[in-house]
Amino acid sequence: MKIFRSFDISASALTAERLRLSVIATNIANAETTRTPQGGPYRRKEVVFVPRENGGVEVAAIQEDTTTPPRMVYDPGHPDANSEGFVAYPNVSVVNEMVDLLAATRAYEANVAALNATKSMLTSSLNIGR
Amino acid sequence: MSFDVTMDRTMRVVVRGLDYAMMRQRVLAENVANVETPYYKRKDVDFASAFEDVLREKDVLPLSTTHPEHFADGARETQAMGTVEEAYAVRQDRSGVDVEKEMTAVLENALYYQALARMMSDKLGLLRTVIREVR
Amino acid sequence: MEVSRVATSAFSPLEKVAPKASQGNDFAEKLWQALEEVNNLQKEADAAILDVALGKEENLHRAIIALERANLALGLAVQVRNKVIEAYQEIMRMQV
Repeated sequence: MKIFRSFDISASALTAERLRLSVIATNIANAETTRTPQGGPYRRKEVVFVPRENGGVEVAAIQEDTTTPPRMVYDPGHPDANSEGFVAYPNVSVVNEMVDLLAATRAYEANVAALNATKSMLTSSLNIGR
Repeated sequence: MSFDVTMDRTMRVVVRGLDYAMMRQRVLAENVANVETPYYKRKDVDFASAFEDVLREKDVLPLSTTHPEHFADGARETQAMGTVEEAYAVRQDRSGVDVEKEMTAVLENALYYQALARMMSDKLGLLRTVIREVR
Repeated sequence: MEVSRVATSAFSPLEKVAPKASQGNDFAEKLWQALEEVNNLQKEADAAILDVALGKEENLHRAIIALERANLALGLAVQVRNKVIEAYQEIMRMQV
């Protein structure tokens, strides 16, 4: 419905931000994962937002960060250590992820605020002349 | 002869809209209740089909039958509103319910209902003005 | 003498107004136009209601304002009508 387009826009952003949050949570959870089915350490994932055609936002893709090199830590006793005794840890920086987490939370809250503003606007338009 | 002045075409559409909102609220509540149910498919009420029959009929005064061989005015009460199921997606636990989308739909639906209710009461107020104030 | 003066002052303006009626200055014509407007506002309000109910309207406040306009116009028209009838009855009761 056209009256509620603002709602749909805010809702799309909420969905997108929640997906971003769960991707960040996956990154933090896998910050120390050295073994994956496709081989090598876990790679940090990032969501790609694109604007939706009829307003709002959507997640176009969840992409792996392949440019940042993995953290090499000298630990010869580790089962995943290479011949030189280095273990490849994921290219996840927990501090950066925490900052992202905060940003995503704030963005989510901002959209909730927008949603509530829309709601109160519509409610007060229903009270015109009362 | 009929003294029922409230059922012109606009009113019937509004009433159907209120019916739709009520039914949709139930369906949405079911969706929200099943947020954590794996493989649950979200349901919704088909908006267009809810208004199909009221939009087809023309705005005519209700026919009264004063003779046994008159045709009765066509019954135009409730029509079954189709619910549609949507293929699941979005969530990792394979539930088809997106909480944000669902809560927004609940909010939209409530406001739609409120808007129609307000309009209905305004229209009734108009008729009441005429009946009560004209001396 | 009194009576004839009242009569002339009451009827002569009407005669003056009568030729202007075609220009739309007649009170009856004005009233008719106003009633037509009330009717149009009702139709607009009905259309606005349908637009909201069928999800075609973009701005809810427009529909509500249309309704409120129609409501007030009708209320005013009804009151004006009552006053006119009242005045008419007053005149009818007048002792001549």
